[in-house]
Amino acid sequence: MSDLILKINNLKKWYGINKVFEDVCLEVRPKEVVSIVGTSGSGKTTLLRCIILLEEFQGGSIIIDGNEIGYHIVNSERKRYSEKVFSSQRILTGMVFQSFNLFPHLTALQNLTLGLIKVKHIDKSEANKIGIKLLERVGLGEKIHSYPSKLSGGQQQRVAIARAIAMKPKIMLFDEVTSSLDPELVGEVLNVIKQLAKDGTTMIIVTHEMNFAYEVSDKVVFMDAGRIAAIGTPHEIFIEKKLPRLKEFLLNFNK
Amino acid sequence: MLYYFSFRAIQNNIGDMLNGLGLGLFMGVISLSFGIILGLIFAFAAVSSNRALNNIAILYTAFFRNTPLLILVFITYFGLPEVGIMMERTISFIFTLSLYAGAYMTEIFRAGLQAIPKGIIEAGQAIGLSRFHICWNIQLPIMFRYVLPSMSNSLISLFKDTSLAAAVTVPELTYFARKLNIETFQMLEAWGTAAFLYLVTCYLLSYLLRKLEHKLRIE
Amino acid sequence: MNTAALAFFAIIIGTTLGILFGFILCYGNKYLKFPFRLFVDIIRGIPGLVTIFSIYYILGFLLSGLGINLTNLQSGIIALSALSTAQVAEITRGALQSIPKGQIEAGKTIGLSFDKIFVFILFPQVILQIIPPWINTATEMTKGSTLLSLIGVSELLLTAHQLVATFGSALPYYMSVGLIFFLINTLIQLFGKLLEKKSSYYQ
Repeated sequence: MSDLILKINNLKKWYGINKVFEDVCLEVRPKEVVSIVGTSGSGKTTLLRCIILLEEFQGGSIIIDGNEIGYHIVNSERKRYSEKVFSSQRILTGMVFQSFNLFPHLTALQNLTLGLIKVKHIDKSEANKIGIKLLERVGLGEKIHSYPSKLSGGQQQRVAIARAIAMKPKIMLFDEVTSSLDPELVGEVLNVIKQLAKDGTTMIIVTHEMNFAYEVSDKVVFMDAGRIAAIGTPHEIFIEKKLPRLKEFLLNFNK
Repeated sequence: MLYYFSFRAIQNNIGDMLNGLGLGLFMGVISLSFGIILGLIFAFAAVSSNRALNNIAILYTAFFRNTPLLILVFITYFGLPEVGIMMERTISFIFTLSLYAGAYMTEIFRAGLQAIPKGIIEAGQAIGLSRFHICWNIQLPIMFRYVLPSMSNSLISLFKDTSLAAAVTVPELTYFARKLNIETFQMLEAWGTAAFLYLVTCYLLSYLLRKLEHKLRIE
Repeated sequence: MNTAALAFFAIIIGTTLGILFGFILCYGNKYLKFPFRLFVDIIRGIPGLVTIFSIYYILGFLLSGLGINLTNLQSGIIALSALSTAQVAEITRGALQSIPKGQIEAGKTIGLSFDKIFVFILFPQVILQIIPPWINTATEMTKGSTLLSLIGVSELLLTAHQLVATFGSALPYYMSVGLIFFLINTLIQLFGKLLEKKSSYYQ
């Protein structure tokens, strides 16, 4: 257990009177790439958002690199950490969103350096160096001074990935990052992610791109109606398809 | 029906009227500035998750937008001295107009803040930005770009509202126009000049502000 | 008491004329538009107070030359009506111009003549767009009635002045009058929200 980078125990989330998910358990080792697939509404995006503390959860625990995040037990009562602590815990993970969410009033480079300067207190010239290198790494060295509105969807998403990586998170989270992209732009983003996997980044990827998930993952999680219905290697999930529910689900994709 | 149009009348008084115009512009800009500060405070109160703050903001906005400005001016100038707060007339008018402007700014800023896609705020949270930094480095810059046109319109409106200062004898353009009218009965000269000056100023303001908007939009 | 009548008439006249002017401004040809454009731009480019004084003094003088003596109340109503007409004209023009051309074309393709297109397709949408700003105009006119106290029209604020002059203490009277207007306008705003809710059923 001590070499796990992420351990989720019996995570439970309700939204009002609706259960979003329950009894979710997950273990992720360093440098592992985990894909989460499942029906819409199965809670996969919400799970990701809980890990980066953009959602509250009512039960269970999330432990990143030995630190329990979000809530702790004080005098046998479950208490939420303050917003300040939340901010410091959020940078343990990095998140790339489906709708990119780049800051529209900042250039690509500035999108990256904002966090470095304000959160990590790195000075401006050093932050710029880091930012430029990262943007070159995702193939956008010529666009460092471009504003998001002048970039294509694929380019924006690559900037978003670089922005998340810049904060050196322990785990990278990808929330259906290609779902909003025109088909011809999907490839450039997936290639960046594949490269990150090769470089040894720990990643959890929620996706509908089954081919991609098969190619890049060490482990695949299938979620259905608020529970983890199956966990296995890509081969086990996509080829063997032991569960009937899983078979049904995969029928919707031409694999 | 005899009316002698005299340019003399305009000539003799144009100095005063221009001074009055200048004062009007000055009061408008000062009130807008204070209004912006108030607007920022109350707009954040209006969008905060704190119920009490929401209600305070709603009350402030509703009160200053639904009550006639003239009555507010009188309350400040005639009424406040009775509870010990005395202000010189121009200052009292600017005070009132600032509070009034603040209410309109609150509405404008509130709408601007709420128009920012939630995802952008979340992206800021995801990279660990504190609430202060999200507000200062993300929300405010984006909001101001959204609301610039509305703010321009507000400046022009506020400038026109400064004419009410005449009601408490602040030496503003309208005051001089009325003075000229009452003293000399040269009503066309008085009101014609005043109307002309207001029109030209509003037109110029609108033109300059639109150019400013254009410059800031190229990014 | 007079306040209510004033604001009411001004709003009614203003709305009717304003809608008419708005149509002219949107659909009229160059020459037809010109005088109306001039009217609207002048009224909206000068403070309301200046309009009120101008009409009171200048129009009053002109008409007295023709033997008509305008009472303060009458010039007040004319002034407020002019103000509301200009505002409503702009609102209407804006609403009309923002209707996507596609709607008119769609109507034509199913064979409707211009006036039928108008009534069934455009009009409902136009009305919906006009309601919120129109409520604002109503509020502005109610507030504007107080300006008429400066030309001696006997309305609420003037009455307050008189009471203050008689009894000496300003704060309570002005505050009460302020409160009354606040309540009236709040009611108008709430009414507006109700209208918006009801009409949005058809969206």
